[in-house]
Amino acid sequence: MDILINGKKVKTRKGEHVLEVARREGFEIPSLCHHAALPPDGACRLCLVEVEGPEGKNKVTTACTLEVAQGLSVRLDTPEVAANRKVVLEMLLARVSDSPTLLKLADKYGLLEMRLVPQGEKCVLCGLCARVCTELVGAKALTMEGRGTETYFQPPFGEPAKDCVGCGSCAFVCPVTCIEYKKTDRTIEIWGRTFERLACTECGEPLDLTPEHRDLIRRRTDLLTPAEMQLCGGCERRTTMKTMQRVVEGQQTLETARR
Amino acid sequence: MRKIYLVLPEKCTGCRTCELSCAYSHQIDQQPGTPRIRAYNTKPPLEKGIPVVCFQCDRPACQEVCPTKALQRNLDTGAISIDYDRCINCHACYAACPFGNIHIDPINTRVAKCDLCGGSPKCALFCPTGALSYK
Ligand code: SF4
Ligand code: SF4
Ligand code: FES
Repeated sequence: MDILINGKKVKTRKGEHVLEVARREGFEIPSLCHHAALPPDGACRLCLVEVEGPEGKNKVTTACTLEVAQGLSVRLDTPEVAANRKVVLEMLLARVSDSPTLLKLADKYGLLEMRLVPQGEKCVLCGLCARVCTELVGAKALTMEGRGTETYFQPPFGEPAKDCVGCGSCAFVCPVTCIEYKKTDRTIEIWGRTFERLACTECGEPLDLTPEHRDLIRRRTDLLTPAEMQLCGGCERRTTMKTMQRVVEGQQTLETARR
Repeated sequence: MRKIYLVLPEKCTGCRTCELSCAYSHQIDQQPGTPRIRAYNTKPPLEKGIPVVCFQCDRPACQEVCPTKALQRNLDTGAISIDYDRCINCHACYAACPFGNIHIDPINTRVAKCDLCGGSPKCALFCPTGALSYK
């Protein structure tokens, strides 16, 4: 099915959304809450596009949630889109005024004047952290709490996250890097918890792996023993190398080297 | 027919040219990336080497534990490659690979693995002894 983006005919597959199609074709659309591994959410309102309707009745909507359809024609850079996007950015920046990500976007999309009082918040409420933790990682450590201006993405009741495994994925995907994630030689600190870092059983090097995360990972496959997961990459490779050496020197056959 | 990436450890001298060519063909912001292949010297100095690189397993542990389906087999090359748009950098694949063939690039802490350079592995191209080949 073909659609038109800025008048250019592009190929799409059923079920795709305009944001992913446009990016694949090299068009630029800003976004905060979109992630390729998650279904669209439409939370940040930055990915606005204008859809051409009958008799010039166009409407502005979010590209991430807009499914491709026969005859769809969208424009990415109309005055309507620009004006609406500026308002969205102005509100986001009023909430979180010091985010380099937002400041760069404001600059790029021509937001010159701020009319709102800065709120001094850190989080833009895109919700990516909780979606990634629940839908992908499967730890379900974070939820949305409160409502309106008192909305927070956090562990239930704002207490230390009891279901968190310390994988750090939420901190990685956060578009404004507002999730505190601290790594020391022996610990990982996040969401009010301090996790122990497992150490390589061979050389003692600390791994980016907590016992809780290891156990969660093991539930996804029947291939791994805990011991295998507790070597660092270097020690694993040296073990691999020694096995290969024994095969080369004829002390072991390929069949027994294979598990 | 799909080409085969062949490792003949008995021919490896441990010169580590493969590591260098890999680092330069996986650059990040014009800096060499972490090599996805490593050549170890078995008896120093440089008497003999053994290259360790992804086996592109039939049943890859990295792929089974990836929560985002970021690791998929490229049907043209047979390589398990990372879709960085999907990846959430949880490092589960690093923990899972039993052979040490998932790497973490120190430049950006992102996971990295051999992708057979999308069908023209530079290590095989530059290996001077024929220990690595692609045909
Ligand atoms: S670090 Fe904790 S809260 Fe964040 S994604 Fe991982 S399990 Fe969830
Ligand atoms: S680090 Fe990325 S590729 Fe590896 S398991 Fe996590 S999401 Fe998948
Ligand atoms: S990316 Fe579309 S609303 Fe956030």
